[in-house]
Amino acid sequence: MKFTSILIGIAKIPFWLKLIVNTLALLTLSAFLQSGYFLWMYGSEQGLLERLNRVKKVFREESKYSEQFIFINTAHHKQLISLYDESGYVEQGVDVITDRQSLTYLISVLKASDARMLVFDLSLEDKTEYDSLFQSSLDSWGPIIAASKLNNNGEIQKPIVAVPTGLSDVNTLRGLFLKYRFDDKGFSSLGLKMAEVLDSAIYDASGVFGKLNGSLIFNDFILYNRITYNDITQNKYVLLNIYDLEELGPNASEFIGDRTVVVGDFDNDKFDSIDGQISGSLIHVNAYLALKEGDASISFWFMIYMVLSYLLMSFISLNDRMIEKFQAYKYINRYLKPLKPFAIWIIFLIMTSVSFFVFNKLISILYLTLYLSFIDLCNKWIKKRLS
Amino acid sequence: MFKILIVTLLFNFNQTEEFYVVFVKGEILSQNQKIKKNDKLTSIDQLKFKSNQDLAIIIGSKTGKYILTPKNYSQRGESQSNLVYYVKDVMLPVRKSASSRDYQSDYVGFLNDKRFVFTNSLVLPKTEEMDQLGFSYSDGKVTGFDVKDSTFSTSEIPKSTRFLKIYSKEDDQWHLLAKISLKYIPSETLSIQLSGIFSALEDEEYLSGYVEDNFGYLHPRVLKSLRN
Repeated sequence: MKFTSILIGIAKIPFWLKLIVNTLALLTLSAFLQSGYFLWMYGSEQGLLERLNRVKKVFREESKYSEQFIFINTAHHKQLISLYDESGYVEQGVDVITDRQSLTYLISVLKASDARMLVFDLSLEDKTEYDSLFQSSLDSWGPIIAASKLNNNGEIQKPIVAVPTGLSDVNTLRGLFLKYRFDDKGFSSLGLKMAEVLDSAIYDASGVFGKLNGSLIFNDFILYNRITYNDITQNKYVLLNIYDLEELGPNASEFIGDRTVVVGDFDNDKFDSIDGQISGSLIHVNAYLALKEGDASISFWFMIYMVLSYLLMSFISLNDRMIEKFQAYKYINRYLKPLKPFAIWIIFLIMTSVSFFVFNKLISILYLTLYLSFIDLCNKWIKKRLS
Repeated sequence: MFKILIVTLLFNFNQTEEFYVVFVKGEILSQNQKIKKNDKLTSIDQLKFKSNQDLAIIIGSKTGKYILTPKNYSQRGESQSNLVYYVKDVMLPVRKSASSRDYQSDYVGFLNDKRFVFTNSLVLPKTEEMDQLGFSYSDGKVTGFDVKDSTFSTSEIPKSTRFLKIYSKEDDQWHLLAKISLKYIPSETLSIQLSGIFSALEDEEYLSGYVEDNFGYLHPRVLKSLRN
């Protein structure tokens, strides 16, 4: 009896109130789904993202940032160092690391150029006999930022040399990179650090959201890659070895010009993404570009768009009158009712497409569709129970 | 009209880019001056190659590394007797061979996408999953490849073969995997064609990329033996 009266109470809630509550629920769920900690994507949705991404790439301006970045591959610049056990005293063999002498040479080239910044997306944690010389060359030119990592205990592992650092960790979901996180446990990512150093951006973290220069942004979001690995292999951007800079000789500094130099292992440090394989270094550059172009920002117009979309979605989902109008037409009714979940899915599809093309934001639709289908089922069940 | 627009756009785009010469083999003239390391070129500079074997490597300020050689022009089915070309007509991007990394995950795609070059023998890379690979001509009789050093190879293919069916063996049965496109080039001819490139491209992956762009896929092991 008591349960039935609860159901009667729910059924009596005014439609406009249900609409608002449902819209707020959808907005909250969307914000929650943005979080990189939450696993939310399934195969078919990944396919959808890949297709939308491919269509969008057709309309982009290729090589747009080729005057802003130059990429240096260190995959073939290696040196051997001694490898010690946990005690740090017993030699276990040798390890391969990026050659510090080559990196020092690179800085000497940059000194003569107008380069804006140097980014080392490399592991610089191991000690070598060359470190003091490397450090003094780092001190002689700037700005330089280097990669750091978070270990399993959540502690930061900084490079052996003293330079500002950004987290180079890339989060993957079943081996696929999708979402970029700007701030993890109070530490800036390499992409965010680039914005902080290059554009004097100020970031305040607050859970799922953050604030960049006072404006609200997503801390985790699906990254739209403006520069892909394919662009690099198709000579849309400059990727050179340090040897190539040596070959350029006196022209090297003019060649670099006022670009930002990003150094990383472009051959081995790669991840699967919706753009095929992509280098970790490119992910950080794309994250920086996303911040610059406002992809992560939660603007007024984006909020209006989301609220209106969710209101429309809630209206269709909660309002059965439209379908009831066709009650008398047996055949139409038979086909219309099962089509409702599809209609919701298609509207979600249009919504996320518009969001991606206009606001550069991809929105998860699978779980939202499931949620609305669940609400629809509850509605039907309550009606059946009360009739 | 549309073609003209595209050509004009490309032309204007490349015109703004400076190309730095980092390597020269042979004698190449630009404005009656021999080009040498550290010279700068634009895409519309005219080059006169002394011989068909001459080549240069340039690095573009926006797009990276290219090889300049008259062969890049003749690869498109055209040839010129006086060996005078615009830079943009003889430049070919230096890129790494993508296939050498990707075949493990999509072997069928790898077989279907490429044209394979064979010299004295046809050598294909072996995947971790596949133990046996076979081939047949149109008659349908399947012959197994020799499995050695993580490769599948055979020296039984006639020079005139243009297509070959490739099979994998599962449950003692041959299953058709792909129909591959083949091109025979004698190893002596290939060695001569690549003699200049060997000295210009020391990185094996870039060398594989160049060969793939110009001739077709050639297994790195064969390429290594040609270099030696």
